[in-house]
Amino acid sequence: MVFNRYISIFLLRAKAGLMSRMLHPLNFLVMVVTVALQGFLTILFVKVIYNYTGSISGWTYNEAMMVVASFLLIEGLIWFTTAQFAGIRKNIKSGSFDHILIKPIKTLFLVSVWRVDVEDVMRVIVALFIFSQVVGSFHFTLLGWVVRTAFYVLTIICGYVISYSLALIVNSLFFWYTEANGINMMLESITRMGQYPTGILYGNAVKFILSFILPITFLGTVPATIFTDDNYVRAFLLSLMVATICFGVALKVFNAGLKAYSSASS
Amino acid sequence: MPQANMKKHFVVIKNAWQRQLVYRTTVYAYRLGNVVEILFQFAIWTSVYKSTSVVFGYNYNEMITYILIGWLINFMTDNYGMTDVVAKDIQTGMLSNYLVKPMSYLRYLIAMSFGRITIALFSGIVMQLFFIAIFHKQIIAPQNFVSVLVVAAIVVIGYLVRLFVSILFGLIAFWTTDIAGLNSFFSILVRFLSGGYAPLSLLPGALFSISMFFPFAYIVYFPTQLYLGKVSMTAGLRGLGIELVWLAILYLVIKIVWHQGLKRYEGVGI
Repeated sequence: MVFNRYISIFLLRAKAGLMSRMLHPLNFLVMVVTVALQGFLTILFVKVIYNYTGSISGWTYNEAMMVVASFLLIEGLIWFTTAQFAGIRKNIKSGSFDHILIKPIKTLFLVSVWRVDVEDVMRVIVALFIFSQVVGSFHFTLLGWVVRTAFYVLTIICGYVISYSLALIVNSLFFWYTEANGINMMLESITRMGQYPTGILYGNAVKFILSFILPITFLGTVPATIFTDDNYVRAFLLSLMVATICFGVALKVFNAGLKAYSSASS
Repeated sequence: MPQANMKKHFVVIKNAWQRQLVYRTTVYAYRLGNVVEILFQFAIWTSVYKSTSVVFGYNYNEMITYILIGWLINFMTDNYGMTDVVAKDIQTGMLSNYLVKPMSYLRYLIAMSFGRITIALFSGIVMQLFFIAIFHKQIIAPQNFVSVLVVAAIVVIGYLVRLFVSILFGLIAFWTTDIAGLNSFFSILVRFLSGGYAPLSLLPGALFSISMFFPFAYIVYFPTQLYLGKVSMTAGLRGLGIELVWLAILYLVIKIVWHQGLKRYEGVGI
């Protein structure tokens, strides 16, 4: 019952998002094309690079494309369902966050789905296009496919939670500091690098940072290893652990932010 | 009279500069994101060059130099969202305030952009110099002093070309109230066609030739080629000429669009 209520609220926000975009249909169309262009430029870049080499730090072309696809899938889902928490920063800046707090629904849920960017479904479509191009290069038994696909879905969910948590932590800073736009842009720049295999980076310190401090390695590389590595159960368990920690920390930061919030309108 | 004119421009520059000081944390955070992007580019190309010695006609040192000088030029020619500034002025009716001021809107925008970029430009240059110091063994020194001067001239004109393009896109707001999509689309396209992601020589022959007709190739790709000595001084001067022609064309187009746009302007919100 409660679940249905939340689903219907999300669908309402998605409908509102689509309606607002359709006020300017040409602009919406260009946004969809832009999202697709971003994805295809990444594909082009990877394709051109692999014209010169068979593998980069042990990653073949098809494996690297799995990283790109996994990243686009998670990024597309995050933008589609939360628009990187525009609900927090916009409402705090405009002084209308009070209206969210008094609604008879979980504040975290409402700020998550406050803005739904419909055009970002295109990222998911580009990801599925890449899957269709490279999936034939992986050879497993039928059972192997079923098991790995199940683990892949679970690891993608973990990646989604990690990305969600990072965005929540950064956007919660707006409760204390309303000009945190730069930090938000910094997070976007850094997480965007998750579309490349993080194994190309040298130095254990850098690898540790990208795994546990800014865990972008779980947004592309780790999900892809479900299909490229035999240690896929370990990859999933590691993702689960990092996702749990990240979400726990994000909740703490968000709740602390709510406590620190002083209404702008009263 | 010219002194009073200069003073007006200086006040605009100073105001924009002071406003940027308020948002300096934003700029520094943005730079930190750039650091990670640049590090990833180094890592990717270093991995690629482990199995090949030449990519797009560049050896490893040339590619590292392209990345470093390319980013430096990118920082020096960026205007950090002038399209949004123009579009917002039109959409919110703020433009009406500028129409009654004793300075043309275009001049005001150019002066303001100088003030707006100061901190971003300074932090970008410092950051790139830091990277250049780290990779000093790989980075290729410029061919000669004259080529450095021509590169500097191309970069200055490139800044103005990029600024004019941004202003032109912003003026589209006279016709449509939401240009967010167009803005993102053109930002990505301009960065790609300027060689901001990778050298344009990655493009197939025909596409490469087409891209050289646009002014964007002369913002990052061309000056970096000249710096690396991959194009002759004569070609460099020709490139500078092409850029100047584009600047004049863009100026004329802005004038035409501005006058046409003003006829549609309703001063919403005033």
